[in-house]
Amino acid sequence: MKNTIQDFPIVLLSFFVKGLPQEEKLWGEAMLGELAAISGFQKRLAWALSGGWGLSKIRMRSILGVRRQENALRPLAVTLIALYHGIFSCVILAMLVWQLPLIREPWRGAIFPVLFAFFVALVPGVIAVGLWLLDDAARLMAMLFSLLHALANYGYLSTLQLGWKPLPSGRIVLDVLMITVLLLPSIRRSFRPERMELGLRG
Amino acid sequence: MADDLRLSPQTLAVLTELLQAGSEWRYGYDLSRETGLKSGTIYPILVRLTEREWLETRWEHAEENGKPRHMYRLTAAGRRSARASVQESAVSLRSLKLAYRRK
Repeated sequence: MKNTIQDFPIVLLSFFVKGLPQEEKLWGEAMLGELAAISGFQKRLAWALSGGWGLSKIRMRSILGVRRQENALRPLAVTLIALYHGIFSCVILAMLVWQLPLIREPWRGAIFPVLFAFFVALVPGVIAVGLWLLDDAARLMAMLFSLLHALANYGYLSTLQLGWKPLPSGRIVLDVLMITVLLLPSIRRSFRPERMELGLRG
Repeated sequence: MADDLRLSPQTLAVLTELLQAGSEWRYGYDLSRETGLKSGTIYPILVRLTEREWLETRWEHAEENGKPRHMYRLTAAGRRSARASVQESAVSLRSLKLAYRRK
């Protein structure tokens, strides 16, 4: 029993390593090699947990093909916008999950609208990941998303002739602010793709 | 190639540690302990530095029943770039401190 507990960090880290492609598996094996040299359950567990997170970051970077400026510092504004989109996505997803038991229609008819709603709710989440990794496509998508969101809020206010309402008006201001920030030259530079060096040999 | 790079404080910490090690090979866990960085932070940095060819890696032969350990050290080019980056960051820090004192 004690051995099983002691082995838990290895099992945990191995779980992350198993699904990796060969070139990334090497880094997982490297972490596992170090884990074998660490003593103390808590230290081993912390190494395995953090290592799993690190491997996920390495995998995500490969999947998205992100070659951002090496170790470039992410501007605080971009971090905040990424967090906003991430939280936005989580809130919509949570609301959808909460609403699921209330659906009275037969599932055959409801399944496609429900799946579509989940897909739409994931969009800001994907944008958040892209912004976090300084992917320029995510910056453009974030601006488009904010524009559509601001227009939807404006449409809501003007159609219902509600006048000035703090929440939708605040959201419009926030969307305009985010678009402005993402257009700033200093912010755009952070998303600049890595410079390619071409040379002729021979 | 390194001139237009902006390195995070964590990467600079790893580079400083590797510079101090000179031509000695270092383990990931030792680097983690000495920089105070977690494995989830240090390995993505090591991956990027290796991709940039700032780092060379090798596997240490495992002792009986042991797992092989991965080791790291700066390449000659990596050492030059790392030294330049660390010095540059120290200069920026100094000028920042000076500007702050003047206020």
